[in-house]
Amino acid sequence: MNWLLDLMLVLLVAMPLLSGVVLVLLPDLTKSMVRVFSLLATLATFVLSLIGACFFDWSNPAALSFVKSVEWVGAFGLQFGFGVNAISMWLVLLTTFLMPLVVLGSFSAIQDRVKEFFLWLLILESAMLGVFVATDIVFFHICFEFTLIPLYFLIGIYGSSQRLKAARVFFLYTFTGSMLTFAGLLYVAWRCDWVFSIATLYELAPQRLSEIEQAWVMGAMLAGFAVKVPLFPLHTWLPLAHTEAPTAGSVILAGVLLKLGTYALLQLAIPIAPIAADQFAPIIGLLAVVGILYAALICWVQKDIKKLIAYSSVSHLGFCVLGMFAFNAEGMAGSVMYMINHGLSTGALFLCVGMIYERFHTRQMSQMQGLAQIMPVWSFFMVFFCLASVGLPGLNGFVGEFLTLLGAFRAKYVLGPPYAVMAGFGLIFAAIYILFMVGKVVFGPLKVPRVENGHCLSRDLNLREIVTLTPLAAGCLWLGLQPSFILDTLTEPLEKIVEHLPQRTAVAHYTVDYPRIEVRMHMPMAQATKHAGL
Amino acid sequence: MDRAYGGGFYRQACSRANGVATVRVLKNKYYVDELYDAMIVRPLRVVGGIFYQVDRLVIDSLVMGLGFLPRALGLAIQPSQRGALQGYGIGMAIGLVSIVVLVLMAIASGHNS
Repeated sequence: MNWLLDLMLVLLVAMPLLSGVVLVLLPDLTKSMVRVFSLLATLATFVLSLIGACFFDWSNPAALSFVKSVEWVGAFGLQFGFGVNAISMWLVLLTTFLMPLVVLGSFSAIQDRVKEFFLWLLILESAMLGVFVATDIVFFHICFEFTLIPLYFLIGIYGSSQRLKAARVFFLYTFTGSMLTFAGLLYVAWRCDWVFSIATLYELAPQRLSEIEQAWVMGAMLAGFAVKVPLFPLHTWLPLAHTEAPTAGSVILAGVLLKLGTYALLQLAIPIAPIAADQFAPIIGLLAVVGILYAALICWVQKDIKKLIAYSSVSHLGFCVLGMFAFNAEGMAGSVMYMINHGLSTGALFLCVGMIYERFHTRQMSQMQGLAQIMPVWSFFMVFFCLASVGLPGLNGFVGEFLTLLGAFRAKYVLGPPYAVMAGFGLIFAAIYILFMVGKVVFGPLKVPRVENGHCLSRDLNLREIVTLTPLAAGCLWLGLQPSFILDTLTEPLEKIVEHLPQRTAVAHYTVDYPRIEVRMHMPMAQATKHAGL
Repeated sequence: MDRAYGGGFYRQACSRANGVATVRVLKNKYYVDELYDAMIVRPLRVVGGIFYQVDRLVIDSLVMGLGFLPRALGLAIQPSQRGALQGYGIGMAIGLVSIVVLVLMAIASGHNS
């Protein structure tokens, strides 16, 4: 057992990749064998990550567990550093949880070049897990960039009509940004005597970098990470890529890929350049709020369901960034919750839309209406995930939205009530556009597009599709009712992230006037959430 | 019979009442829905439509324009690399002259000091 724990993260990252290699080497597999093999491989990875979660040191969630380093280019001090804290652990679990569902959801949608498709999915899983477990910036950056390659092919080969344009724009957009990020990261490493370990940089970088240097480093990191999130006005690749990608690609893009951006902002950008993060926070908060409202209004006029959900991601991720840059316990914990919640509910919505597309070969809202009459099971899931997405209390979306807004409202130094109020309008818009869409598609008199050369799937969801959606629905419900399960583990790692932020020194000064400020980072999360009425 | 009479009476009463403004307002729920539609829903949808076009046309082309910069640079210097000998000859001549000028300047500054 010890060797397993020792190599836990290495195995976790290697497992999908090795399965992919085995998949290539095995000759003469039928399509269904390839599908089942990929499903088993991703399930095995999920089980492994669950074992990891069981042995994770939850009593000390800020410290890195399963630390392991593998020598790479020893002469230059380059190595692959593995390790997870609580935040990374949750995102690893999100990734491994979504992957089997994505594979299961693509069983019937992908009929050509099946082996390649699942191979790219497996490679992509390894790359994404690599980002979350990396503890040094070079390994982090390699994995961060590597996610582009499988996705480029997934979108470019298996996407819909504009797939080539979408794949090219997606690749160039994100790649250009992250080149600047890499330059910024290397600059930080150089100023800290070529230290690559993220944990060491937490201590060194804030001391070594001057205020101006931090601003430049922050700018460089934002160039890559804000594109990935995506933060307004760098979001235009997203609607295109999400809409053109095959269902599996959209689910992974929304569920995990966008979180690479927010995760990197949280774990790299803020702690490495704390002064700049503090200075930039009002601007980033403003962009987040603009993005929330702007994308929400755009959602409302969409005719394509998938594009609507794609734009809603831009709006939702605005909340995530807003909470993060509030720099208080509520906001930042809400932001991490939002990452997980958005992965579940928006991923599920993309799956639902994919199921409709498989049946009717269209995603135009004008062509379908009243689907509840012929597809009651699908309609149930659709309405459920829509409600989770708009933040119905009791489902997961609410927790993240509420905490991020609360955080932004209470943030005394950086953001404040105006930001929260403006973002609050985003909630109303979200309810409008999602319910507008649900009302059109699910309810009303029946209208179904005529499908040429008949579809092979049953009219309502089949067992496989129900099995795909049920775990996601259960996850949404569970996190809506028991958010403290995750929230309690976030306080300590988040405290570590804001440790070097300039206002922390000012907390004592302000406690006299605003006793609540004391709540900011010192109160245990359980109390904070109770305070917030959760 | 009873029903038909009642229906007729009702219809008559209705058609008479429809002429009255108060009844019309009440029947249309004080036009709250229409007001709401005209004042909030439509303007916001128009704004949404404008934003969508801005997103597609303005922001996207700004970003794509940034991507065009390196290409424009390439296009600008492309003529010098067409393989035309005169072009290379001029390039060589300019290079040679600049080197000679630099050397002369170096010698001159050496004399002065």
